[in-house]
Amino acid sequence: MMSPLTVWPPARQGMAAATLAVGVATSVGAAAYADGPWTALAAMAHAVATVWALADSRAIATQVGTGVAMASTALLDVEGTAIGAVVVIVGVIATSELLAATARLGIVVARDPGPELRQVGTAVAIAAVTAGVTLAAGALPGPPGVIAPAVATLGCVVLAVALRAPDTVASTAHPRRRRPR
Amino acid sequence: MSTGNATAPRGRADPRLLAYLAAAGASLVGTLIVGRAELAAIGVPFAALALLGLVDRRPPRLRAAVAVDAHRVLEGDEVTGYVTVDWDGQAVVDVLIDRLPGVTVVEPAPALGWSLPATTGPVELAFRVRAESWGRHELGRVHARARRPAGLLTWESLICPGPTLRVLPRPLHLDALLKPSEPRTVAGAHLARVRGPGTDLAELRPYVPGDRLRDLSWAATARTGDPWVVVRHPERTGTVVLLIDVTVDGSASSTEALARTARAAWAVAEVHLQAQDRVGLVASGRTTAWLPPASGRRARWILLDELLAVGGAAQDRRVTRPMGRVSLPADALVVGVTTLRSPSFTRQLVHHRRKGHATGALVVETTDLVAPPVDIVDAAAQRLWRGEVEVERHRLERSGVPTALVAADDVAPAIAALRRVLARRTGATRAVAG
Repeated sequence: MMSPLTVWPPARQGMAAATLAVGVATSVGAAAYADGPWTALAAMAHAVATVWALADSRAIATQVGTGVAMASTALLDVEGTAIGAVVVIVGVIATSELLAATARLGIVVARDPGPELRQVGTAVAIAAVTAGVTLAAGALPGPPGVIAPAVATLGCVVLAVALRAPDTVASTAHPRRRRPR
Repeated sequence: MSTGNATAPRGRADPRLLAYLAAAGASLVGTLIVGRAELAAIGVPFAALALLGLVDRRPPRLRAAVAVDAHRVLEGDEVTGYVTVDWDGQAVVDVLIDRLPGVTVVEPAPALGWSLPATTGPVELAFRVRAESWGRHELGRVHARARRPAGLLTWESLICPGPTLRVLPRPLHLDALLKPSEPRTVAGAHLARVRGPGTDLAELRPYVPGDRLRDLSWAATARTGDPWVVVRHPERTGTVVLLIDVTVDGSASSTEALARTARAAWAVAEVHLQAQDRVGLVASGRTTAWLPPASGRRARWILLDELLAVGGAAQDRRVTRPMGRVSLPADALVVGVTTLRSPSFTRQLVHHRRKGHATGALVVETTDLVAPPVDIVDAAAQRLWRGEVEVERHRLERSGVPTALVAADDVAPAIAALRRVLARRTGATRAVAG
């Protein structure tokens, strides 16, 4: 059953157009960059999944899945490089975040798209930084394929704790929230 | 004021959460299997975003209260209200009041909803609605959806019901009373057939021992030389039972038709209650109601409340169980207020007439509410519908139920016409009985 808050929007064409542009550009860019049949196939699937997710936000999982497949094939193809795969995956994340923002704008009441765009920008920045750090960690000495995930996982935990909103911690001790005894 | 806490918030994961976790897991496992560190660079951003979205998983514990500046308004009045929403911590909150029967949203349009950026509560949100149709309406329900900034979990809950708004029918000017067939023994405004202390002249007759001296007609006595006394009709109260047709056929005009029916019924009820008559109510159609006849100020409020409940139930499309035929007082004048859209209502009126009650019908004109025909088929359908209404009206007339047309909310001419016909029929009945 559809939630009473999830009603079809009056206008969100701008955000939807931007989402479609980013999603298709990522697909086309990946296919052109890697120049392999599997990447091209995954790119087509990603473009279709983006359009599908615009219509139904539950299909964002499909978009992310096809995006990961596209980035992986782009990396594993003959002409693929790690930098290229990172650029592709940042594009996939930007597309999924824009899809989620478009879905959130799909509410009949007016909503300011500014904060939504800022959130998309933050997510893209986090993705670029973490992917870059992981690549750099991959160059560290040690068993290949182990150091990078370990360093990256530790970095993610530190990042999540550091970016946690401070007021959500403080609000539990807010005197206004205490029950009278 | 309606207040409430979100009793059972429903948490939902964002569609991205599962996808991000799966992508991160698959990528990191792939890294370990293939042994290429670059694969980790694909999965780590997803892991970071998923972790960030799950850092604050505490439900925001939404609370809300709704207040309106007036709980009792007339049709067409605007009502200003406030929703006060509070929650724990910082969150992006969407608030929506849905299911608004009997009112239309003025501000914020087109829906009574707000989308708040990431902030902390409490927040007071103002709104304005216009009362459109009579009845007792529960002003929707307050839904809220909250999400922590950058969070991947969403909580939705029904926080509290809206306040109850009583929309009274617009007052119609009416100063004429219908005449019940058998006025009761209590002093009131209707002339009784019997003679006794009163103000309305019945006849002059010669004085007989036992007559009160104050009843002597001094002019007649002086003229004739013999004592004559004035005989008067006493004023008594009557019993009026309003039989209201609350048929809702689903058409766009049925709401206004129902409102017109209510206005006419309330006008008749009010003028008779002012005259100390006992007024009862029977509603039939979408909902049913039965209020035994009573008089006085208390009865006025009870009747108004019942009328509003009938209006609210009809607007909410709540279907109540059909009511059996009620037993009306023998002296009751039954006044049907109907749009003649329901043949079963016509049968009810005829039933009361056959039981011996003085019965009349105020037929509320609704043809002006129908949009002009767009094509020949539409025009034919409208002609058929008007024909059916006329057939129902003639069926009533043939069955001894006089009808009068209430056009454009002007109920006074209809009451006057009905009063004339009822008086004529009562006179004819008396002549036959005599």
